[in-house]
Amino acid sequence: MGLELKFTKKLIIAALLLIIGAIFPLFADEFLVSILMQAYLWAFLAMSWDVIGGYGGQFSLGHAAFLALGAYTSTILLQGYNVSPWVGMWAAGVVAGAAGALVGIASLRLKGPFFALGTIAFAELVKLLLLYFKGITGGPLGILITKSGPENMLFETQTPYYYLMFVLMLAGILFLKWFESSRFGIGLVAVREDEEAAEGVGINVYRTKVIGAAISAFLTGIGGTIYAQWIHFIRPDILVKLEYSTQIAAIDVVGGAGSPYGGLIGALILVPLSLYLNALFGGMIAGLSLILYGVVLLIVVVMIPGGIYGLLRRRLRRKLPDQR
Amino acid sequence: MDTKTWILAIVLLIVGLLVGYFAAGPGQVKTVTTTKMVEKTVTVTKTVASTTSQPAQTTTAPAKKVEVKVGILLPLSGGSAFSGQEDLRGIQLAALHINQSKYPNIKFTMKLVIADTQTKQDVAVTELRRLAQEGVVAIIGAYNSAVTYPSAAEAERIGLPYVVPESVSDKITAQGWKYVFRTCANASKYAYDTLWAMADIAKANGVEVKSVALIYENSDFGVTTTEGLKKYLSKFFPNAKIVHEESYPAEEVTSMDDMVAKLKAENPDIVFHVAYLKDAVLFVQTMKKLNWYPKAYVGAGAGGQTRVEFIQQLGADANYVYTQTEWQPDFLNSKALGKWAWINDDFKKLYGRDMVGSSALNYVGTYVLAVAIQKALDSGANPNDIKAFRKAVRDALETIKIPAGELPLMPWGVDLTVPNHQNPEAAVAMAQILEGKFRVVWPIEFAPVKAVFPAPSWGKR
Repeated sequence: MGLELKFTKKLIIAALLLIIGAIFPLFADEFLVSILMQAYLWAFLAMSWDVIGGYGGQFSLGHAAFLALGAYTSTILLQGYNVSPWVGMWAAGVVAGAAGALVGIASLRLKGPFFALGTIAFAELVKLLLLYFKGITGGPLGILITKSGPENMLFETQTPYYYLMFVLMLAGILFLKWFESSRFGIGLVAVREDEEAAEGVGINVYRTKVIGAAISAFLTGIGGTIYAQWIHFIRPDILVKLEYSTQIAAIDVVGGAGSPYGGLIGALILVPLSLYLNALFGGMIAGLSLILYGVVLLIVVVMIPGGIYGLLRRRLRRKLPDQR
Repeated sequence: MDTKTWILAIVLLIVGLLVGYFAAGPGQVKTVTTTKMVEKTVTVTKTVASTTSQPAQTTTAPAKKVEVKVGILLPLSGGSAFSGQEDLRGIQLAALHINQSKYPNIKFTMKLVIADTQTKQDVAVTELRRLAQEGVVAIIGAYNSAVTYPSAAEAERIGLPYVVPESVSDKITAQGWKYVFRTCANASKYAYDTLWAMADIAKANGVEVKSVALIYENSDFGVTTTEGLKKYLSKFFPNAKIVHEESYPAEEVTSMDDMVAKLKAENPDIVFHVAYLKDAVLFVQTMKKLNWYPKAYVGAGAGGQTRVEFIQQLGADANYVYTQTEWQPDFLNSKALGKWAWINDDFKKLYGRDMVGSSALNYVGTYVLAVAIQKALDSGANPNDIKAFRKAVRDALETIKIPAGELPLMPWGVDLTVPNHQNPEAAVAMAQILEGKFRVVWPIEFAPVKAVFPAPSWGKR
């Protein structure tokens, strides 16, 4: 009985949030819409990160590289071969996913911080390769998207982008919901919790982690396509930034790693916060916004290790002990 | 976690926010405060400044001036902060002069709303949206071409005039955008003018150039400029061959011995070098170490060689280096531009040194926008109807034509009536470092001194 009620409640809350999200652009002004839209994109990227970073427990600090690989793949296909990004985004995912697997193969056999280090190094490598293969990537000049039309995922106004990112974010949540109860997802969590025990029950630890990294990179690659379609102009030095990699990780960690909602919660808090702080202080004491942002991050990470979602869940459980 | 730590954390956060808030002052209000502060400083010296060349302005401003908000989008923190801050100084000084009625034809008050891009595309686009919402009639920005591009695209979508006073990427004005205007030269023009200047200088000195070398750092800046140099080389030096071409990563390079040794073996007449500061200094030091110097060593693209630090770090070894330059105080020694010396004087009073290329270019961009806004006001457009007024400013920008000599500071004019809104008259001057100072040597009609060509070898200095 209690469980059913909870389910209905959840359903109602979800439906309400969905409706609010869907009709938001109708009554909010464009600036708010633009902020929320970015929060969705970052939420999706954080959820992608969550697959390996949260569920897999392998900290990546190079996700900007997968973002860039995705952005470049679909953009090269669009500009060079006239392939619509609606198709190209899947190719973007595959290329980024393959790269993720590669990093995983190289660094996940070892325990400890090697995956994190590997991803940082890999990001630098991707940047250099993008600069080097000028013929394909435009080198340091980057690539400009000059096509137009919805068939090429390009819109004249902001609202379509809002819905694009809204759907992307929802897809991310649904994917993680499915993922965490899938056989593979459970296996990955088991590996995170205790590698020896996982191996004991017949899970191939190394392979599981590598596939996790690949899935995570695959999703990030798709996010990269969306980013490129929104910004229209990609360039290695401006896209493959450690700042972006850490932002993706930070959003997820703050929101609550290893949960389907962590990415969204983190993004809804951190993205507007960083943009707001920048708007407030950027004009005068430039850089102060970054310091304050860092302070907030630090406080959350130190004081709420499970992220905000974890905190909420703990509170709820404490209040409703009998419903467990 | 216990309650005490919680309280401590929250208190710390609040204290941090409050300290920040009061140190900075809220959003846009702070801008005005700076302008006022700046105004005070300048008013003290105003009597001296205004008697020189500018018709003396009365301190009493006309009773009701229309206030127009202009959005500034610059990298004020992060990697490009150094340049962004310098750009901002130029813009603030221009706004100050406009508000002090130093330009009698401009009769409104310009209020700046400043935003930091952090050199990030997504941040810039968001900040542009915010500025639009705060009611700015136009944007000036955004230094980094890669950031200018997406934010200008967004401005085009909203219908917000966007003036680009410094980003050089050709792409920005190649889109046929209706709301985007560039007052400065684009990257191709930098390359074009480098060759033009050196061809003129070689001709004036009766030297024939038979071989050149192209050295460049491998980011957007170096590659675009060098591509332009290759494109136009045969136009200005029909008999010259490229005997060596090499690029390098500016951030990481620690030794240039190999590169310079190869150059020494090839011995080209002119070395064109597109560089930032550190690598330009290293290159000259290496040439000295290997005791080799071409007839002319030219810094193309107005990069590291045009910085004051270049001379500071190299001392006498910097002499005879050519560098493209957007602006030098030496211009004010020429007959045609001497009348603008008061601008640089005001700048000096505020910041204790001369303007540089970035501040001068942004000053000019702000001035051009102000002329357009005034035109829009004169045409009867109502600044309170923000959408229509932006359109009016756009239309006015499209009619702007200011001949060389009437544009403050610069040895060129502005013509935005061209279809792509890329000012074709913007030129990039050539300077040579002589006796430890940047001396303008080209365009020859604006040059107070004559170039030394070929440069003496290290032994004969």
